Amino acid sequence: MGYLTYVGKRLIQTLPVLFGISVAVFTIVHLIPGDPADVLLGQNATPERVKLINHQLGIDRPILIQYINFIKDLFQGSLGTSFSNKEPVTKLILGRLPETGMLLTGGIILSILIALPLSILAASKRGAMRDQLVRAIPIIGLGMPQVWIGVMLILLFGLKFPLFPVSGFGDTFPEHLRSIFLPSLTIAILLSPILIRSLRASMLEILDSDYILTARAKGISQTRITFVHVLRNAVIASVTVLGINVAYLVGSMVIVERVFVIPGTGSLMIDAIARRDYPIVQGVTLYFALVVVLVNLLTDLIHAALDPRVALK
Amino acid sequence: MKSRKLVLGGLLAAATILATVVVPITANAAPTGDLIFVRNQDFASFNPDLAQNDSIFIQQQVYEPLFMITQDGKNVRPWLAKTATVGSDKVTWTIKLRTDIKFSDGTPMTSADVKFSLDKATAGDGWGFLNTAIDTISTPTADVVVIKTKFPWAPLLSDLACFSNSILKNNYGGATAADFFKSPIGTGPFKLDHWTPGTEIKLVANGTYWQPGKPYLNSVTWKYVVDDNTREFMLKGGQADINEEPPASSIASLKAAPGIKVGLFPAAQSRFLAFNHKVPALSDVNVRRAISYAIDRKALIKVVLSGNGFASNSILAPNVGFYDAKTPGIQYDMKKAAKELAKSKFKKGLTLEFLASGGSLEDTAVASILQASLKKLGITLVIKTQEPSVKRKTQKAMEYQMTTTGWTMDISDPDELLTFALSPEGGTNAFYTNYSNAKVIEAVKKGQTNVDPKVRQIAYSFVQKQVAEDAMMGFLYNAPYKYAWRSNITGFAVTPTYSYHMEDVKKG
Repeated sequence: MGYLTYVGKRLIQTLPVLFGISVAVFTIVHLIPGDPADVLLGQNATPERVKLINHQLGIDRPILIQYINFIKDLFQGSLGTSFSNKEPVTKLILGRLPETGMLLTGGIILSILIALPLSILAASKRGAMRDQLVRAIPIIGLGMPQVWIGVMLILLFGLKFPLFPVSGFGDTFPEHLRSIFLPSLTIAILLSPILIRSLRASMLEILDSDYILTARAKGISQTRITFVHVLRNAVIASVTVLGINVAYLVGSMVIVERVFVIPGTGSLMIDAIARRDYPIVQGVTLYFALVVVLVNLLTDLIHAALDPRVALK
Repeated sequence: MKSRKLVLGGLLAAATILATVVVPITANAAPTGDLIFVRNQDFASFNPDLAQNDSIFIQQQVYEPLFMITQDGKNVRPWLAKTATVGSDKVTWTIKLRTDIKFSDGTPMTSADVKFSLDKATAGDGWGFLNTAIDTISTPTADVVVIKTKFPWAPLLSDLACFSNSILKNNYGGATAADFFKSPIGTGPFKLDHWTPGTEIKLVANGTYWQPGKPYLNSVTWKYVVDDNTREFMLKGGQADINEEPPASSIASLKAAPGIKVGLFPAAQSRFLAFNHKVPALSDVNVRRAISYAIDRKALIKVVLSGNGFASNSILAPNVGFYDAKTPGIQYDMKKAAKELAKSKFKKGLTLEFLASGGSLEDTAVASILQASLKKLGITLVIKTQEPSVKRKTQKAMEYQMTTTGWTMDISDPDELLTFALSPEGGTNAFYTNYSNAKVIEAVKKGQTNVDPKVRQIAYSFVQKQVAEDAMMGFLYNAPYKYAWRSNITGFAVTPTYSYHMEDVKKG
């Protein structure tokens, strides 16, 4: 099957997934206690004004009608308009994408940069002290809450040794890079133990295989064996692990963005929940779902590219 | 040649003197410094009628009222107005306007702008209730406004000093209301630079501001930072200059931090324990008094405010005009609590429900401290938790028994709170308690309609005494406004009615 046909089929398969998510999100959002008009009006909310605002927002209609309208708008490329600031939700999400995108990319890059050398180090001698340390220390990181890790990084590299800003996203590209370093590192501290575990296990399995023995017998250097013969094959399984964990990463970013005041889609989502801004909550959730689906598709494509034995079916 | 050199020398000397004397004066006059606020509330609107705490302080830097609340919060002083006189009929107020006021677009402020703004404010759904006494507004000349009230109305100038009565450009400067509130034009020290909802709002100095040499700052940015720790880190790390409302638990460590100053500003705000008088047990004054006596306010202040506050004894906070320190507000006394309960129909004990807001430290503290005290009296307190906005709805629907509530004064006159809390005209069923006392309502009315301060004091002292004796609500505590700022910031102060003048603030 050709690449394009495969991608097309997979994209079509995502539609029922997204439909299911839209139904679930729409239902759950409307089950959250609290009234959007009540939240919007605050202390000045009177039953009459709440009724009027609910009518203006269209949330006094039956839930099925509201859902049909939501789907109609979706097919026209619109995620609706924010209840609180009257801006199109698509515009609000697109406006926050650079921050979230950079944070996601930064987290993945730092995770790989941490996981790769440590996995090689650990796998180079099974059971040695360095192997034990590499296996143990990141697990500690995995057990720590993200908020705590973020706060500790701020205290250390933002206040004690002020190398990075404690919050914000900056105004220029170099400032963006400096600003997202600590939040990306927070994500990496959580993600890299999973990658290390997977990569180390794969490398050890490959190191025991016959073709590595043959390579050694042929006198190929250890460096070449590690980087060319072992690592390339070991990475295949870890790409899948990374892909699966992106979903987890998307959830993590919501908290990390909050701690580091990164104005990304996660912050947009949390504020929208507090304000009962249904269109934003629905829009961002669908966007998150789409990201997860697309990353999984990308993972499969990379998997197939790295391993010719994997057929695209 | 010599004389030419002398002239040149003289010019150089003059230039040097100018450079050392005149230039610094000019430099001081130009706004300098970009100040960054961090707060856990996101700005919502430039419409004064929709203003809540998230927007009020920022609006006040762009728009200004005719009168301004004094720093002690108990009075008002002329601001965009020059004078105000009330006629012998006690209902005709003649207000002379300053003639040197310009809007940020350079156009002068006239009586037409004032009439437009006050008419809009009166018609407003949000804060229009403050202007219910206003009958007509006329503009005999460009700098005179005449306001006629329906009846003698003592709080008028205080009402006009409220942010909701800020002066906007007549007819929104030809724009629609929606467009105007996106690009507001006011007479305040700052004007809008940009607003990114969910992130920040930045104001820059208004070059046409009427107070000479002000504002001192070039710009002020309010950044929306929800996390308390992050706000503190930003302040300590120099990424923020002022931190609004740091948690009470962090005050001691902030005070000890180098380069940081902490301000605990006296506040015209109070916290209460609301009773639903429709509940049979709570319609019994002795039960209410017993519960009020059983509130360990000291413990509450320690837990909720880390000791930064004091027990409340009146419906009015001490910084509100006409507050009476001699009000016999009920304080913690378990023996008196037991005596009061013994006088009631429920001396054998009863079960009551406390409605708490989910995630609220205050509600958790009030509920658990009160639960322990009431148990000693034989009252079982059941705690029910609801999401904050749902709790508010339940409270308004009078479907609760006991819950916490509070009030922050927006004007210097006690009428705002007393009408809201005690008069049927307040429209809130007496703070959603169903309390009603004809004598109290009459005294509130007397305070409103009499311009003689002595008569008003007598009326308001009676109100405070009677409401305390009736234990209409349990008075909990008064907490200050908490701010922390970097030590290079000067001139920052908060009034008891919760506003600040950023035109007075400097960044060194």
